[in-house]
This record gives sequence, C-alpha cells and structure tokens, in this order.
Amino acid sequence: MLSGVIFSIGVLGVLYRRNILVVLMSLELMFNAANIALVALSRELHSLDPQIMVLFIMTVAAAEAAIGLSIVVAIFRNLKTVHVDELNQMQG
Amino acid sequence: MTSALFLLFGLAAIASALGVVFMRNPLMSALSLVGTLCSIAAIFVLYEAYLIAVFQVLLYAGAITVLFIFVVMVVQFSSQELKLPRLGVFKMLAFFLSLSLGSLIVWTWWSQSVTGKAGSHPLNAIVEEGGDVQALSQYLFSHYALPFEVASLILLIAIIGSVVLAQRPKKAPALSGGAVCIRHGV
Repeated sequence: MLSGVIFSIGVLGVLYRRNILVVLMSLELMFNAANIALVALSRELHSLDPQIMVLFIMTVAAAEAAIGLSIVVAIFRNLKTVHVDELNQMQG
Repeated sequence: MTSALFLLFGLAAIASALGVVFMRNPLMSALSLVGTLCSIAAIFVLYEAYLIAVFQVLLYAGAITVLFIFVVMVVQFSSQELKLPRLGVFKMLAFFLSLSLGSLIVWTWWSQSVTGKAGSHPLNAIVEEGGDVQALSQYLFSHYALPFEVASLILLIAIIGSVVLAQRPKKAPALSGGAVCIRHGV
C-alpha cells in the first residue's frame, strides 16, 4: 500500500520535474518503495530472502547514486546546465 | 499502538516524498528526501527488520543524501531552473499516468492477499537464532556468498567509473573544485 503510493510519487517526480538532480532523487524514492514492499513480504512469508535482496538493492542504489551524480557533475561542467530539456545534443 | 505508529510514519513518508517532488529548491528536495528515508527506516523497525533499518539510516540517509546535497552545492542553478515546470499537456499526462499506476498498485495490494511458499524464518526462530543480525548474516554468507562477491565487484566498478567520469579533462580550463572533491567524496 504505502510502497505503491511512494512508488507512484517517484514516477511522478521522474515525469514532472526537469531538474536532473530531482529526477535522481525520485529514482531513490522508487528504490525505497520496492524495499518497503520486500520487507513487508519478508515479514508476511517468514523468510529472510527478501531482506537479503533489500541489502543488494541498497548496494546497487549506492553505486547508481555515485555514478549518476558524477555524470551530473560532468554534464554540468561541459554544458553548464542540469535542465533535462536542454540536454538535446548527442555530441558536444 | 503499532498500527498507529505505522500510520504516523507512513503519512510522514508520503508527505516528505511529495516534498521531494514539489519543493522548488533542489536543496530542500534533498532535505525532505532525508525525512522520507528516516520515516521509511522507522517503518522497517516496525516490521522488525532492524539490520535493514540501520543500513537505511547509515547508507541512504547518511551517505547517499550527503552526496546529493554535495552535488547540489557544486552545481549552480540559474533562476529559471529553480521554477517548477508549468502545467502543460505533458505535465497533466504525467500526473494522470502516475496516479493511475499508483491506484493500480494500491488496488492490487488491497484486493489480493500475499501467497507463496512460507520460508524457514518465522520471528521466534530468528529470536532463537540470536537475533536479526546474526540470522541475516549467517544466511547472507552461506546461501548468498556468490551474490555478495558480485556486489563487491559492482562497488569496485562504480568507484572506478565515478573517478574516471569526474576526472578533469586534460586541456579544459580550470574549474571549481568539484572534480577533486567528488574523487575524495566517493
């Protein structure tokens, strides 16, 4: 329930905002919604597998945040903008 | 008591998640992201997944959000970028799509019950085994040893990748200290 609501807020953020940083934050929201669903499932089914999966999701999310933010820094350095609609050229 | 706390933290999580999307300043978005992550950590505690809750606070609310706030500080915004987008056809479509997706998920969760093979770790077995941390780590290092190693490989690749991406180009003009700090920050 809660995970569904937070996931759809994350989708809304990705679709609605044009700032690439806020889009990345909304991505983190969607990761977290999946984590809530998995922990609830783990409690419901008396199993630890979903919790292990949450640990791996957190690892991948940390890697994704590091890479994504360094891409943002590289984009900003070259183009001086983080506005998604202005990033429309394939070669700099 | 538990369900009241669940409702409280759930509402807090939803409110601050809306704050992430609708705050005008990305710094405020990052701060309300901290609020969301902490409320979600409290929800994990209510689900008795204590280790996950600790990692949520340490990894997400600590490390990742600090990284976000740092990049928000590095990147300077023009005043035009700070405005919320105007409500055009595509924005209405975005609202409609996410609303329908959310109601679909909520409806599915509401109408179906969870089915599946019950696992071997009911709550009292976890307590007998010596608590959440011990049970989880024993399971992780026996059944999931190979994925654990693969995860460490992913982290290594991520470190190398972000160092390469944040490197200053050879002949580019001097920049503010973002590249160097990113390298230390990761």
